[in-house]
Amino acid sequence: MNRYWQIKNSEERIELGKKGENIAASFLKKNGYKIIKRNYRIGHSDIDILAMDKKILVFIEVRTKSETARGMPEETLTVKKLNRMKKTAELYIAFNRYRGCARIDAVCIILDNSNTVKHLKHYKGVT
Amino acid sequence: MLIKVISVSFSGLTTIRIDVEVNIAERGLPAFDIVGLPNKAVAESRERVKTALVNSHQNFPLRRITVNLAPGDVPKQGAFYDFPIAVGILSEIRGFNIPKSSIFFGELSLDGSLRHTKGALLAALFAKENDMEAIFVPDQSANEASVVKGIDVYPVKNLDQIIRYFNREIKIEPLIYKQKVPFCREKINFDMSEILGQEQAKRALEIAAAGGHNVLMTGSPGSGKTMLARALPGIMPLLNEEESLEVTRIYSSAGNIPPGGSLIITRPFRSPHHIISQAGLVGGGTHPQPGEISLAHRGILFLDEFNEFPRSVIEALRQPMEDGELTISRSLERVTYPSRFMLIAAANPCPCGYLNDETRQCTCTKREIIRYRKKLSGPIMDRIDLHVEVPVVNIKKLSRDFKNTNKNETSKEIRKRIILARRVQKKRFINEFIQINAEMKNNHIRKYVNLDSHSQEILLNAAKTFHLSARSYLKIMRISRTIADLEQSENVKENHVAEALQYRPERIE
Repeated sequence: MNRYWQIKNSEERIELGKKGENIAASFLKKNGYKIIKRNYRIGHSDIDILAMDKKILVFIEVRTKSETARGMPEETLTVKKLNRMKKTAELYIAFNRYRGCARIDAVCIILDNSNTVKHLKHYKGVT
Repeated sequence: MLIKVISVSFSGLTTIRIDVEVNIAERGLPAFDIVGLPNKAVAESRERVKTALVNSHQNFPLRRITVNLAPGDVPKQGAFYDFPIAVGILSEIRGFNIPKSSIFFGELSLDGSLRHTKGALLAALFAKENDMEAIFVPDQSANEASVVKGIDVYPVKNLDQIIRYFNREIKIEPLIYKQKVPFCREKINFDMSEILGQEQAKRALEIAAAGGHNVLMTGSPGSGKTMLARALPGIMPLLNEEESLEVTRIYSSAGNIPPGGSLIITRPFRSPHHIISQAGLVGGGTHPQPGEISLAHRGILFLDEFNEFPRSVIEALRQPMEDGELTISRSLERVTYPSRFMLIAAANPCPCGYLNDETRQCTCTKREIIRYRKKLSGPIMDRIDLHVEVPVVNIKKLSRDFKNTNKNETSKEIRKRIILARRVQKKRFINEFIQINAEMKNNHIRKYVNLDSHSQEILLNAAKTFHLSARSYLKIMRISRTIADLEQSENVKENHVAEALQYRPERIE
């Protein structure tokens, strides 16, 4: 764990994440995605946003960082995290007997102190 | 939807058909898998295909793509499945039809262009044998593939071009083979006329060139053995059509044809250094590759400092020298490469090098000489048809003649004789499956080498006094046939046999 996690207390972190997820959800809606579920939990991991992009089921992971922190939110999507996301998505597909196309996306956001978006990127098909 | 693209796989010089099946599923998470025993180079084609498609302004589909290389039990190697895989994916996302009975073959570059790929000639030959209509190959390999007549060879520069071709926006003209300047012309360093004296050695090389016989030249350092060998390509005739195809196939499978290259028409001249390994000389590897002897097929294999080669390496030459081909067996693969080469070996007569030298004293003991010579085993010496000594050149004579080399015969003149002699041989063997005298089997010798009673007697006497082996006996018959051919003589006469007998190895008592 890097120092960033140690300094911030967990409440602040959760709050930042929530803000990011809200921004991401409205961004996706604006782009024609139909949001089905948010913070859907399967086992130990959860899916930040579950949406439909036309006929494709999309699992979306939102990564938010404040401007004061160093590094980019993209960097936190490690191979380990991506593999876990894949597993979670497969579990969801199996439990719900979903037949059709699916995809895993990531939305990376940087917020400054006044909660304005400094950086927002939508990556399609990250795994 | 399932799409099938035809491609090929190589095992030595044989080619088998591979069906590249591309399936893009409408369910599940996006993935891109290649199955069908791919090796690392094939598996990595995932990244190349993906990037090349994106760089050709295509959307790479975020769906489950499965590529199967059928039949699934044949291990696939090489990077040339990039192109068929990319075409399969493109046909799905752009919705065009792939022409039936066409082979796709080529390696992709990340920018979407196609790279020169080894084996284009083999793929084209396979297409022809299996009645395919067309083959799509990289632009730079098209010249090589276009040698095969009867199929359309489409040169493809990049993915963009093939997309527009299938969309009927542009046309790609099939390439028609044009004879170009041969790329493989070994630089001929010396002309025979530049070599002063050494008449006997020159004569031996002439006979060797005419009949494809093996030669061992022994002589002191600096006497001109290497120079003679280097001048040899200059008197060799060009490859005929059949030979040229044989040679080009080997070079194509080994990836020795440069981009844009085509048929090889000059005879190969290979001169490996004596630190060569056994696999390097005769071929080998897990997936057997041709060695120097196969790369010297229908040409010259020149082994300078013959005594310095590791014994095991030289002994490995035995069987391919006799059979003209070599089968390399590994647990995974069994591959046969042709190796009908002319061995030209050069060696010193003793460790110090000055045995039989007129100007300098040899400092070796008899024991040393015997040990030195023993490195070359009897079976190998027996397989070399012509043994010739290259004496030291008289310096006085050399300095006198150095300026005017005109009176010597040039390589061109000698070559003319050799071409004539080869023509005689070709005419004679028109109904046999051989081309030159060195290839004659026992039944051919019986049929074509008719000795009169007198020359028969000479040969029998020689066999008795020289203790000739059965093989040497037949070798002498072959050489006499070649000498007769050089004189355009129908029958083998006694002077031919007598000359052939001169080229037996001298024995040390």
